[in-house]
Amino acid sequence: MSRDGRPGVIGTLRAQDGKGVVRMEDRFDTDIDDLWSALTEPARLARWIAEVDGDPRLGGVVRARFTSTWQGRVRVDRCEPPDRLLVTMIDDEDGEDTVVEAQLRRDGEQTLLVIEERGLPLDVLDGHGAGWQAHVEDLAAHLAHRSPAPWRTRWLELTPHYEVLAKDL
Amino acid sequence: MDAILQALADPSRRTVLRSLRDGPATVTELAAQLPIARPGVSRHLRVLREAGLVEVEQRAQFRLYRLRPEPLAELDEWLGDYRALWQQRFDALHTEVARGRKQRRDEG
Repeated sequence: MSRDGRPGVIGTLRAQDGKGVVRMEDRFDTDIDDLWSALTEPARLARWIAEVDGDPRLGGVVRARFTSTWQGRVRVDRCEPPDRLLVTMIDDEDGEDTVVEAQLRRDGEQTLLVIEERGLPLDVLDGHGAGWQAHVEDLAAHLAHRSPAPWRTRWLELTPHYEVLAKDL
Repeated sequence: MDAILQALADPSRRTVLRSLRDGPATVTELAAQLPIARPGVSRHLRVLREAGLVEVEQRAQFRLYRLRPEPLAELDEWLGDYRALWQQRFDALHTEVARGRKQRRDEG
């Protein structure tokens, strides 16, 4: 069980065109507009996932530093409030880029969130899977007005579970 | 060599190196320790990496920076030729001091 009392793994991994895809699905006790703002407003992003410099508007590029230590540029390719956000992430270290898509859906009092990152190297997909789950758990903590736990600790804890998922690809 | 000296010419980058002497660190940890604007830390790390003074260990989205002492050894070797020069001057000074002392003794 995770620190939130949820089942261990909430994500899935798959291969697509020789690259890896991480997919997270979760449900949050808040409305879609609150979730959208947590995913798009720099002041809120800084509280659970990343410090962002610049104006995250459609077509714009911002610099971001994630709690995972990943850093690079993020370009906003699609911004359809409050349902869909699609960004391209360009890594400072290796210049590789990936696409991250977030989709939100109202579900009664709750909101469903699906996050996918596509274009990842297959050999490190387990690490990215574990990392995204740690981020999503931090989002849940933020929405519940709790402080997120250290990202790295949870990442290391989850990685073996995602190693098992990555083996089947 | 130019890249090494240029990298070392900036006080903030020397502060980053000083911090990494104590062990590897993430960019977040470095940013917390350093009196540098946050985007600056990433930029300085890039310059240090291009000069070979810093290397990054990467696993998925996690990156850890560590000091690479090899370019400093290269710099030390280059300074070695100049060290020989001032060493000769020191030796000459020692000889001169000894001669002066002997002269005073002989005169006294």
